[in-house]
Amino acid sequence: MILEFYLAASLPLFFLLVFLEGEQRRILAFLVWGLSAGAIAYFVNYHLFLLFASTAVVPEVTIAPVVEEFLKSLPLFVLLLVFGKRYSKELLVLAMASGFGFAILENYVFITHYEIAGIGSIIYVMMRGITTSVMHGCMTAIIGYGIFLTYGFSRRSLPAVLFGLFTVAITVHALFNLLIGHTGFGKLLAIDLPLLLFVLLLVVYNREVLFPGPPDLIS
Amino acid sequence: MEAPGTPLARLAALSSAFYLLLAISIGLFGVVLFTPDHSFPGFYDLSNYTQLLTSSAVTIACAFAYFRWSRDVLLIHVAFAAGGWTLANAFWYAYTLIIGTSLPYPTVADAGFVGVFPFLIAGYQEVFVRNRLPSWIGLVVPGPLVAVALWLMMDIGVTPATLLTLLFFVLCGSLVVVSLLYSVYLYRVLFLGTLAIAVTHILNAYRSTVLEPHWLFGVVGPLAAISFALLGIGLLGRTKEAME
Repeated sequence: MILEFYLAASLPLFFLLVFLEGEQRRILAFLVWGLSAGAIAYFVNYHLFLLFASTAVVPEVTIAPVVEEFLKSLPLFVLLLVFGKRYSKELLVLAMASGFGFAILENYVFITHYEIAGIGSIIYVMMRGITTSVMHGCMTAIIGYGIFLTYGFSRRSLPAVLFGLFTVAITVHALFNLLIGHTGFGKLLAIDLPLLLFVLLLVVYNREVLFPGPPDLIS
Repeated sequence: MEAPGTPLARLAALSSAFYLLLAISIGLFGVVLFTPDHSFPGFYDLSNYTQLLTSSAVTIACAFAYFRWSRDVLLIHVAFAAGGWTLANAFWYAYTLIIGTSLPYPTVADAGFVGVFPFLIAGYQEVFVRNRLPSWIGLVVPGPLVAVALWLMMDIGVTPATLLTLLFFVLCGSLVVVSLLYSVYLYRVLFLGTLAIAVTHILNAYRSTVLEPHWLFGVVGPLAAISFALLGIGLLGRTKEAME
C-alpha cells in the first residue's frame, strides 16, 4: 500500500507543479521529493533491517537515520555539487519541505502499520505531527541552513561542509530515535527536541531582523 | 581589566570558563597517567560530563561570538564541528546507558566524530592563507598513520571497523597537514587543540578496533575535553584580536 499511497499523494502535485513558478515551484518540488524519499527509504530500510536482524545492531537507531537523512537531503547535494546552484536562506525552507514530505509518507506507514482506531489514532497522529514530523523537517533544514551559512565560501570547502552537516543531522536523528523508542523519561526530552529545534531555526532564519550583525571581520 | 558588561569583558569571562574546563580536564588526564589505579569511582562519568560540557560550551561560545561579535567564518565551522561532536558523544553515552550493551563500531556516533574533521579542514582552508611549505608534507604526515591502519587490516582483516579506522587516520593526518600548510600554528593554542583532536581520535579509533582494554586508553576522554577547551581558548583569542 505504500507505493499506492505515494502515487496517490504525489501525482496530483506533479500537475500542480506545472502551474507554479519560481520559489513556489521549488518548494513543492522539494515536498514531492520528500514523499519519494519516504517511499524509497521504506524499502531500503526494510531490506537493511532484515540483513541485520540477527546482529546486536539496533536498526531504527543506527541504520534508519543514515538512510533517511541521506535520501531527504539528496536534492541539496545534487543542486550544490552537480549543478553548482547557490540559493540564499530559501534553502532552509526547501530542505524543510523535503523533510516534511518525507514525514507525510512515514506517518502514513506508521498509521497503517499499527492499525489504531478511534480517538487513539487522532492522538497518535497529532503526537507524530508535532514530534517526528517536525524532527524530519528540522533535520533536513539544519543541512539547508548550514549551506546558506556557507554562501560566500569557496566551492572547494562545500563538499566537506555538506558532509559535516550530514553527520550532524544523522546524529541528532539517531539520538531522537534512541530517546523516543527506548526510554521512559527520555521520551519527554525527545518530544521537546524537535520543537526546540524548530524555534531555533525560526530565530536564525529571522536573525537579521532580531539581531542586527556586527561589521565583517577581515581575516 | 575590561569594564564589566562590555563585549571584551564578556569574552574574557568566557575564556576564563574555558581555562577552568581545561584545568579540570588536565586533572583527569593526570589521574589516568599518575595514580596507581589510573582511575577513581565515578571517573568515567565525570570524564564524560566534562567532555560534553566542554564541547557544548565551545559550540555555544563560537555561535554567540559569530552572531554578536565577529563574522569570522572559522567560528561557525568550529561551532558545527563541536556541536556535531557533542551530539555524537551524547548519543554514544545515552546508547550505552539505555540499551545497556556496548555500542558497535562503526556506528552513528562515529559519523558524528568523523564530521569534526571536514568542518575544521574546510574552516582552516577558508580562513587562513596557504604558506610556502611544500605540498609533499601532505604525504609524509599521514603516511605512518596509514601504515598502521593497513597493518591493522592485515592483522584483523578488512572489516567495517578497520576501514573506519583507516578513514579516521587519514582524516586526522589531513587535519594536521592542513594546519601546517595553512599556518594554523601561528595561533599556538588553536594549533595545540587541533593536534589534541587528532591524537584523541587516533587513540579512540585504535582502541575501538583492537578492543583490548588498557589503562592508557583512559586518557582518550580527558584528552577530548582538553582539545575542545584549547580550541575554545584559541578561537576566543582570535576573536579578541579582531575586536581590538
